Amino acid sequence: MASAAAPRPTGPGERPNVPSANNRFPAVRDYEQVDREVIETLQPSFGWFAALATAIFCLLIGISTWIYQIHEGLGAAGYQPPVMWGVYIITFVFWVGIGHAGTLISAILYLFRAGFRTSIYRVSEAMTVFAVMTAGLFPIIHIGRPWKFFWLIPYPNWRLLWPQFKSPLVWDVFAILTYFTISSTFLYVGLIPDLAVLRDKETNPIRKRIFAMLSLGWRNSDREWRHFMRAYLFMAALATPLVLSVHSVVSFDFAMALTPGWHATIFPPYFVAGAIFSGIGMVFTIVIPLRRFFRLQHYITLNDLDAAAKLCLFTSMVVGLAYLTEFQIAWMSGNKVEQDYFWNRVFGQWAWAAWIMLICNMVLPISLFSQRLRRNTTWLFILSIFINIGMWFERFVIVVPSLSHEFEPWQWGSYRPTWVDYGILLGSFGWFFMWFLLFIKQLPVVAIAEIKEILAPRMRSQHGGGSH
Amino acid sequence: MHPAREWTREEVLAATSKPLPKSLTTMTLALAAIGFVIWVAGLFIAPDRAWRAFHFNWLFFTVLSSAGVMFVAVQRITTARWSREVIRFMEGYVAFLPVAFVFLLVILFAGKGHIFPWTHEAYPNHEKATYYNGSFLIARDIITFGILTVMSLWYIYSCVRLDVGGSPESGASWAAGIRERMRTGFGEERREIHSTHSMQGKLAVFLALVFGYGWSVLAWDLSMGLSLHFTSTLYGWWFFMGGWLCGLTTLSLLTMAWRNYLGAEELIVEKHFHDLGKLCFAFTAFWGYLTFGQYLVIWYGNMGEETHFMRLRLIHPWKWMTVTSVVFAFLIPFFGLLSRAAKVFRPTFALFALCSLLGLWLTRYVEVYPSTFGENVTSLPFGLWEVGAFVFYLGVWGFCYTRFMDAFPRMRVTLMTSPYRDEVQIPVNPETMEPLPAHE
Repeated sequence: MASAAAPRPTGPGERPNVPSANNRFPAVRDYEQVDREVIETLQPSFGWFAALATAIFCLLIGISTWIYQIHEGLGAAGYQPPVMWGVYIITFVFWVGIGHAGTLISAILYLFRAGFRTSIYRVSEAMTVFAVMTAGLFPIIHIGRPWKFFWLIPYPNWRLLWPQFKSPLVWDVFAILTYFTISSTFLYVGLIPDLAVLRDKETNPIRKRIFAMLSLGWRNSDREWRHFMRAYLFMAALATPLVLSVHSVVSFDFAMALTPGWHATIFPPYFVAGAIFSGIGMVFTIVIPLRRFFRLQHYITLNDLDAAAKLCLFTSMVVGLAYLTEFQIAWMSGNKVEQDYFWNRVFGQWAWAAWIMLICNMVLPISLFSQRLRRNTTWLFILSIFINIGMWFERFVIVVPSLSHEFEPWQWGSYRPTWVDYGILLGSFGWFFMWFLLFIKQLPVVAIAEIKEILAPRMRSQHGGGSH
Repeated sequence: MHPAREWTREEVLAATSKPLPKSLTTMTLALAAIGFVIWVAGLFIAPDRAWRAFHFNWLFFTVLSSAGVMFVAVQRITTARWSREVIRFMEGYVAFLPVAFVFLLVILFAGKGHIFPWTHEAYPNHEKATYYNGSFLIARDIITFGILTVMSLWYIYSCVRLDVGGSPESGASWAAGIRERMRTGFGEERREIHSTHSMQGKLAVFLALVFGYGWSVLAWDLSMGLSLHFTSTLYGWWFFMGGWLCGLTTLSLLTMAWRNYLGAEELIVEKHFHDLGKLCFAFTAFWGYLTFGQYLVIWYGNMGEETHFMRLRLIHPWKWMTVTSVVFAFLIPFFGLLSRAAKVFRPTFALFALCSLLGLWLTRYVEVYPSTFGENVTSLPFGLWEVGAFVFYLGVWGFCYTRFMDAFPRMRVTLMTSPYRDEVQIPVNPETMEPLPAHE
C-alpha cells in the first residue's frame, strides 16, 4: 500500500475540515500523509516520559502496598465480616467492564459496518487488553495468599484437587482467560498490515527486524489481503459473543447468590450494558487527550466522537432503565428484604454512593442529547471522568451495601477501605497506563491500513472515476 | 451495499407500484372472518380459552408490529443506508397498531375477567394489590400503549411523507386524503430531506425511550402479571426482544415475498438477504442469551418464589410446548442460520425464519397459558380456539398491512434517488444544510 497519488489540491471554497458522506477525513490527502503523521506519534516526547514516570510511580505505590498486605494479611485492607468483598472485587469488575467497550467497538461495530469505529478502534482494543490484564490481578490480590491462585486452574488432577466447577468464581477464570486470549489475538491480527508499514519505514536495524518478524512477512499482496480480511472477520465474529458472555459471567458472581440486591435476573445484560457504558467513558478519557497531544484531530474527528457519544448515551439509558427496573421489581415483589435493601440503597448508610452512581451514570449523560455538547471535547472529557467515577461507584453500590445489610440485623456491619485498598487501586491505574503508554510509543494508535481504505475512493475519483 | 446501478425515481416507482391483487385482500378478510367466527363460538363454548388465545395472539402481533416501527427508527438513529430498499416493508407494520389499541381496550374491559388473575384471585401482598389494582393497571396501559401508537404513527408518517411529497400521485383511493395532507407544505426536496432527518433524529430517540420503558411496563402488566406470585427483573427486556426478533424474521419473509411479487431482483439483491440473515441470526443468539440468562439465575438461585414459574412450564401438560418453543425459536434458527449460504439461499432462510416465528408464537402461548390455567388441566389446552385466534389476527394484520402498502410508495424512493440523499449521513446543521466541521 504505497503512496498512490500526489496530494489533492484544495478546491475553491473548500475548507479542509468540511466532511461529506464519502470523505470523512477531509484534511487527509494521501497515503504518505497517513504514514507520516501516524508514525510521527511514535517519537518519544518529554510529556510522554513524564506520563510514563507518573504511571510507574503509581504502580510502585501499588506494588509496595501489596507487599505490605501480603506481609500483614488481608485484614490490612479493611475487610471484616460481613463485608469480605470490597475494593478489590469492585475494582476487578470495574476493569473488566472497561475492556468491553473496546471489543464492542473493534468487533461488533465492525460487523455492523459502523464507520466511526475506524479511528478509535485501535486505542479501544489496546485498552481492552490492558484493562483485562489489570482486572486479572485483582482476584489474585483478593485471595490474600496469591501463591494459591493456581488452585483455580484445572491442572491435572494429581492431588485429587479439582476446582469447584459449580462456583461462578471459577467460571470467571475461564471467562477472563478466554477474553484475554481472543482480544489480544484480535489486536495483533489487526496490527499486521500496520506492522509492515512500520517495518518498511524503520531505519534502526534491530527494530526493523522485530517489526519484520511481527508482520509475518506481509507484502500487501491481493492474496494476503483476502486472507487477512477473512481472518479479521472471523476474529470479530468470535470476539462478539465474548462481549456478552464475559461480563454476564462476572455478573453471575453476584446474581447466583441469594444476597439481597444481588439475586436479579436482569444482572447479565445489565452488567454488559454498564460495562460498555464505562468502557466508552474510558475511551473518551484516553482518546480526547491523545488526539490533542498527538495532533490527530483530523483522524479522530468530532463526527466520530459525536457518534461514540450517542452510543454512550444509549448505554446510559439502558443502564438507567435497569436501575429503575430493579427498584420497581423490588417494591412490587413484596419481598421485605429486597425492599429494605433498595430503600437502604438510596436513603441508608451508603446513600451517598448510590447518588454518585445515579447522578454520574443516569443524570449527567442526559447532556449528550445536545449535539453541541457531544461535539465539545472538553465536556466529553469531563463527563468521561464522571462516568468512570460513577461506574466504579456502581460496583461499590452493588458489592458493599448488599454484604453489609444481609438478612438479619445481627449480621449487619460496616466497611471502611484503608490506605491499602486505595494504594492498590492507584497501583492498578499505574499498571494500566504504564502498558498503555508503552503501547502508544511502539505501535500506531490509529489503524493506518483502515484509514487508507477510507481514502481509497477519493484516489479513484481523482483519476477520473466516479465513486458516488 | 446498494443496487448495482443508479435508478431514477420514475424507474423505482414503476418497478414497485404493481397493485396488490384483490384476491389477497379478500383472503385476509376471509381469514379474519373465519377467525372471528371461531373466536365468537369460543366465547360461548370455552370462554377462558377464547379470551386467553385472543390475549396471547395480541401480545405476539402487537409487540412484533411495535418492534418493527422501532427497528425503522433505529435506521435513522444509526443513519443506515443498506436498508433503504427494504425498510418500507417494515414501516407497514404500523398500520396494525391502531387496531391493536382497540383490541387492547377489548381485552382490558371485556376480557379481563377471563385473563387477569387480579380480577378473581387474592393479592399475595399489598404492593401487588396497589400495582395490579384494576383501574390503575387499565389506565396506565391505555396511556402507555396510546403514546406508543401515536409516536409510531407519527414516525412512519414522517418517513412516508418524504416519498409521497416527492412522487406523482398514485396509490389506493382510501389514502388520497392522507397523501394530499402529506403534500401540503412539502417544499423543496433538499430542504425537506434535511428537516425530516433532523426532526426524525429527535423523534426516533424518544420513540426508543417510550419503547423500552413502555414495553417494560406492558410486559409486567400483560404477561408477567398473569402470575401474581412471580417477578423477574429481566422479564421486560426478554419480552420485547422476542418481539424485536419477530419483527426481523417477518421483515425477511416479507422482503422475499415482495421481491418475487414485484420482480424487483435488481433492487433487492443478495446483499440485503445476507444482512437480514445476519440480523436474524444475531438477535436469535441474543434472545437465546436472555432466555438462558434468566433461566440460569432462577435455576441456580433455587428459590421457590421464582422457580414455581419455570417449574410449572416444565411439568405436564406444558413441558413439551415449552421445549418446542425454545427449540424452534433458538436451536433450529441458531444453527440453521450460521452459514452464509443458508442466509442468502432464500428457501433455507425462509424455513428458518418461519421456525423462529413459530417458536416465538409458542413462547407467547407459554407466557400466558400456564400462568392462567396453572396445574388444573390434565391435557394441553391447545387446538381450535388458539389456532382460530391466530387466524383472526393474521387476517386483520394482513389486511392492515396490505392496505398500507397499497396506499404509499413501496420503497424509500426519495432517499434512494435524490441527489441530496447522502448529505445527511454526517452531522449537518439542519438550518444551513452545511456539514458540521469534522475537526477543530
